[in-house]
Amino acid sequence: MIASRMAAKAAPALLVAALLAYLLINARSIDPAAHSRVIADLSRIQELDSELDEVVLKLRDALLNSYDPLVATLSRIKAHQRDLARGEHAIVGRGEAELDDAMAVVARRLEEKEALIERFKSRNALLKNSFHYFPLSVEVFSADAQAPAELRAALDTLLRDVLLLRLGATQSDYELIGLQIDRLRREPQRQAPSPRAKLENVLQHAQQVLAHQIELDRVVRDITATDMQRAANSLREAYDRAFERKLKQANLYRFILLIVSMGLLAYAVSTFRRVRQSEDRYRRLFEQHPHPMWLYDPASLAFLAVNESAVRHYGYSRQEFLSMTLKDLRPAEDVPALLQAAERPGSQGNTFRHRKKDGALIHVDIASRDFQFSDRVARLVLANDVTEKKQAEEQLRLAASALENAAEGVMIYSEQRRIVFVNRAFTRITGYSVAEAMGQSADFLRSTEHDAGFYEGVWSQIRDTGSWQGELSRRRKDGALYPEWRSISAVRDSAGNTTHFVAVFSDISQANEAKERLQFLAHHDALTGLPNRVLFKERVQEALNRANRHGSLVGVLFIDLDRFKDINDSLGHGMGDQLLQAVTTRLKACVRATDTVARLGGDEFTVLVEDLGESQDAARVAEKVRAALADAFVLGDHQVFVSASIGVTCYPQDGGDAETLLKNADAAMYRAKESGRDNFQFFSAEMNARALDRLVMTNNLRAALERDEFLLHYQPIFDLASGRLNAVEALVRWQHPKEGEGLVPPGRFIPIAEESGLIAPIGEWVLKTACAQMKAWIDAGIAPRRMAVNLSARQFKQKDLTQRIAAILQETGLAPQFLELEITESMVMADPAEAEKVLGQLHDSGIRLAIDDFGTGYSSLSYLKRFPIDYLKIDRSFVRDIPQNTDDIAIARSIIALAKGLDLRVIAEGVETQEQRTFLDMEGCEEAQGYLLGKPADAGAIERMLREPHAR
Amino acid sequence: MPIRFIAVKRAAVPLVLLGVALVILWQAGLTLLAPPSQATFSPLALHPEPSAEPISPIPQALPLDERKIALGRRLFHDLRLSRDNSVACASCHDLGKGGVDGLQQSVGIGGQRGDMNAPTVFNSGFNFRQFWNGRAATLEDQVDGPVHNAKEMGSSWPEVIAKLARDAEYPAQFRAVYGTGIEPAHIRDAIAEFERSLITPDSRFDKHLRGERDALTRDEVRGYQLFKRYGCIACHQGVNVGGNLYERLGVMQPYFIGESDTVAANLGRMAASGNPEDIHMFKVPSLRNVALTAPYFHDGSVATLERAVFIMGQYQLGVAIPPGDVALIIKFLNTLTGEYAGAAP
Repeated sequence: MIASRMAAKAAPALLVAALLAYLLINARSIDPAAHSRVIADLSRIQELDSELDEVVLKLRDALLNSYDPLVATLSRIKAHQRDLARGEHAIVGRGEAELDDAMAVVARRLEEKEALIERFKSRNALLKNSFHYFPLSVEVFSADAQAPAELRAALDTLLRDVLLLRLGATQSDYELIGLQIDRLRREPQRQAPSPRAKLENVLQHAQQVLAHQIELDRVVRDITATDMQRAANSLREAYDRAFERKLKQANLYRFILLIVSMGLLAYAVSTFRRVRQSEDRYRRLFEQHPHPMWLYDPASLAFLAVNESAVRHYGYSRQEFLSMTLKDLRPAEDVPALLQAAERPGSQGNTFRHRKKDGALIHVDIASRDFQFSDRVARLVLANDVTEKKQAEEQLRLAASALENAAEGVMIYSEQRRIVFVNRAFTRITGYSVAEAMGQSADFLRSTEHDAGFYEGVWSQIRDTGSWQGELSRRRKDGALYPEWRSISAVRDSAGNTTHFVAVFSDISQANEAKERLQFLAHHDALTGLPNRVLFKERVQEALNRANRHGSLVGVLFIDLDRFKDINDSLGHGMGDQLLQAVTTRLKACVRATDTVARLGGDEFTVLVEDLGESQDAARVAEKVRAALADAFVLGDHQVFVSASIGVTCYPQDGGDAETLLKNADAAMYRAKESGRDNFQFFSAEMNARALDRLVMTNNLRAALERDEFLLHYQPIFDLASGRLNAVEALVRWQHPKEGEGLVPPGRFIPIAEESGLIAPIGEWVLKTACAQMKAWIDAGIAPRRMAVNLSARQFKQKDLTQRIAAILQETGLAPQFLELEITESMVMADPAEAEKVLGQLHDSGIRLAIDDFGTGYSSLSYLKRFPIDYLKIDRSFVRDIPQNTDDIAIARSIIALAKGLDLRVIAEGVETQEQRTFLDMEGCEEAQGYLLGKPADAGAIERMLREPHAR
Repeated sequence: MPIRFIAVKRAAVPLVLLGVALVILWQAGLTLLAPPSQATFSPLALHPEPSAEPISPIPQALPLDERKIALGRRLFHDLRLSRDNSVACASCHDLGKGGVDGLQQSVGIGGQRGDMNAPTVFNSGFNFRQFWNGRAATLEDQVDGPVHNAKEMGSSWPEVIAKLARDAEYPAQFRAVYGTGIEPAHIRDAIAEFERSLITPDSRFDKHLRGERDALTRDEVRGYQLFKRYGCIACHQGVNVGGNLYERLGVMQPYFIGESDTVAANLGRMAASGNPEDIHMFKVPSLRNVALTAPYFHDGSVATLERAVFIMGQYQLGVAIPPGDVALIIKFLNTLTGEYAGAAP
């Protein structure tokens, strides 16, 4: 309602404002300064563009050797262009489509030019260096004594042709050089290693020169051909036309604006007069309000105006008020709070204390609101005297507090005997909370101890005499009965009608200490004061609960004194009891205060130790107990030596509950007795369980083979120098049939497969699958160079290994040179003579061989030399801490050097950082695999990698 | 005393109208001849004198606005630019540590590790673009990056301005410098102006260039010759010894292979342009003060200058620079360390 009225009021004002803004903007659209600035920008763009082309040419011809002038010129063009597009005097986005289009063309040309210039800079830098390095590389090659003469001559020709490119070249020149490079590229295979590397270097640099020279020529041509000049001209023409149109328009708007302004002026004068009239009405509303009202300055707290009612109520005259501040109205102790509150803006409704002129203190409710008064903020206040109401509230609160905090329970019923109030003591005594008691019948605490007639008597007495008191048996919330002393009185109103009943009561039952003593005796051994079997079991159970929460272990020791009967028989029961007490003292000293020592009876003790890290900790306690008992016991005149047999169980391995743990500890104790007393034994159910577990896993593995649950992942292996994906390593995974198990990592099933001998058929499956996959990739024309497959020790020991592999190759149709078999050092070193024979056969058939995890096992270098190995794979543990660990750097370095010496290629495993990769590359390591380069992935993902050579 | 509190608001209406009308008449009758506003100074506009050397010295002073610099310095060290008030520009660009943090990758709010190595803020005004991949054209544009990056400052302009507006001095300072309240453009401008003032002139090499005899030792001069002879100079030239072009990391052989080839941080300019041709193209970094700004490269993966020089030789030039030459080049690089003349914060 109000909102819509305000909107109706605001609408015309907004309309006028919009009209004014519109006219003003249009009238101002012509600015001579802006105009000359635009013209200057346009001409500078054209000048600078020519300069830019000149700088590019100078750079190409090495007349300049820094890119700073190029960057500076370009950035100046961009600054002018930005000025035109987005600056204070921008010429676009002003509704001139022609201008916008022309500007867009300029921007596009500029962008094209900038992109070309970025290309120019990076290619020019490269070309400079290639021209520098290419002749050097030719020199280095020619200086090699092993370099054949005819190749030297061919390179000299190439050198001359390449250098001639600088003097301007045609398409056919480039083609001629390309042919020469192609021809020379076929040479290296026939060369000795030293000139081979140098020749490769020459060709690499020649290739660079060729590629960059061709591209640079094109880029420079494109830069100089960019049509910036024409775009800038069109922009200029479009701008001139637009300027002409605007000039005419602006004059028109200026005229209209003048008219509108005159109208506004007239309207302003008439509004001013109307406002003065309406003001009088509002003043009367303030003056004649029945409540005291005033207006004050929130900053100085000075009164600015007060009304009639305020003068009457407070006793100050109007003049007195206007010379006072709010502080004078408040008692002195409230002033600091007032000053604080004054800082908070906005309206507030609160009760404050005020002092009248006659000194009387009153409480007033204040409602206030800030608003703009003349040129400052003023606060309008309405005061409501609530002094009487406040006093009444105070008394009520006092009474309520007394009731609430009384030591006796208090209940108040309504006339219908429903509970309307209970105090804190009520809750303490009965156990019912306030919420539970409210609204209940007065009878809800009744016990069956009294009959209905009894209660009727009570209530009739209250009706007659107004009160009753006596002892009652009551029922608590928990059901327990308790005796209480209660007095009930009726409350009457001024007319003499009963409105409420008040009941006051106290609990007169006493704490039963004797009962608690009984409780202790039931749980403890009378002779030693130690917990008995019942309490011990409870403690164990509690400990198990805690252990479950914390994931810790709990140990139970069952201790039986050896030959205690003999001592009893020979020295008498009195001495026997003394001994048990002495043993108790020593046992307690062996454990922490939180652990429990108990006596089950006779000479049987138990100990509960909590919070163990490993089961071995329990053994240590047992050892401690034995040591503690070893010293002689002095009983009267006798010196007695005692030993103990101890059984130990651990939770959770040896039982899931107190009973089982104790029983098993007892059994273990008997084993200790049987094995000659004075020692301790573990009860280990774990052995059986582990054996069972293994059986299940073996069965599952066997089934997995039949159900085809294995699958292969492949990890890519890259050539470090070229970045090419050279090989993949096949890695077996087990897709567990059970929901949620997912892929079982090889670490969990391979050891079991090895123990059970299942590794041989699994290995064979892996080999077959990997070969078939490789064949498929070859057929698709995307295969990497090698498929690496790990061979297990058991496979390697098979007598017919070579035949089996040959059969698989035959079956899958894979040529042997594509297969790489990975074996570990320990496999070949187990029987070097046999290994040499088998490896020889495999190698002769064309299969590549690699030593896996090299550096971790024991290797004899002399054997290594005899084996026909192609690759060494540096174990990941040596790569992991490069470059932090200097030992690892040294090891990796020497493995690479060793491989070079034996003419082997090196593959690094577990490459995870760029730093490791550059280190390995520069040390001469040929290939690498690892998470930095590629994680193991399924065949589909690898296939995508193979199909998409990198965008270069 | 007559009271007129109820009508105060309405009395203002005709007064405002009167004012508006007068202003309009004034404006419409005028043809403004305001002088063209002054363009911001760009260090890039400095034209080096044509000289035989491809590297030119850093000017000893630049014409910059001192008041903006003072404001920018305070903002640069202000933790309130980050969401949780834990990170300032200076946290990763420590002026006492060569304008970097010395970490492999910088640490932002909540201890998060970023993907890139913080480049030095010194002499950044001479760079042709900002960030390793050059995605910001100016220092002003660059400011937006870290403020909004969730791993760096994780904030936003409204949030930052709300905090700065509660400061006792900022509102007055911004009004004094810019004539208005705190606005994102003004924060960017002040910080950028301060950054432009972070120059390190008078390095020993610059003194050498200015013709001061004995500014360099014989080894250092030899190092500079090798720097030119090996072709480092082809990219690292100009006033900033780099910082004015893009180049591919891995010219003579690929530097990134396998999956590292396509990791976002390694894409370089392609991440900004989307153009596959720009893959692994990075802004050639300035070598000014390079001795102070280890570790090196966009991902901070190279710990020492020795390794950095060697890797550059291998991958960019196709040459294994012998250790003796690397040592000489590093001697030269050490002479590029200049002096920051500005006051400590």
